[in-house]
Amino acid sequence: MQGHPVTIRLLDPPLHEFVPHDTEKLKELSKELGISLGLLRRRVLALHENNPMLGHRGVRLGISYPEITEMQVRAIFEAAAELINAGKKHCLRS
Amino acid sequence: MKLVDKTKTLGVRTNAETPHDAAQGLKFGAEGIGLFRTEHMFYGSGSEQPLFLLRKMIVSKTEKSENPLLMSYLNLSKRY
Repeated sequence: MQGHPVTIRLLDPPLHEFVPHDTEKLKELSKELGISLGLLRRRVLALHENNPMLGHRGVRLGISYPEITEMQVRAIFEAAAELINAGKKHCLRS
Repeated sequence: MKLVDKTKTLGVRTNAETPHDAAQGLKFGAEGIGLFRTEHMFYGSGSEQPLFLLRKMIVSKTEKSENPLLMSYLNLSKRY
């Protein structure tokens, strides 16, 4: 971004938003992942929340799954390091 | 945006997650990216592979072995 500021939001949506809920798509996904449909269903059901808008998402998700936060932050720093090494303009600040 | 530059007291940044959108925003006078939503890499075109890796992570008990690759996609957008 030519030295302009960039605000990056780490993974925000609740995880259930990334998995299908209808049977056909779940069957497909279970095959792709090489697990049983029953196991997939159980895992998907475990993600259910009554009010996901206020629930397990954003920073709270990052606390429960620190590997996601770590991975994303690492990617950000690695990208920034690449830019610095390539001599590109930046305005790094926390 | 140039029209208002002389009198504005408020800057404008763009929402963007792809090199194309970032470049377009800059062309229109954006002074940065106001919001880069990392979840967008799991939606839309080109999302099949990252989404598959994410789903694998969500449903499996093991940790992060496949996932450094996942986040290298995030890297690409940041060059711009």
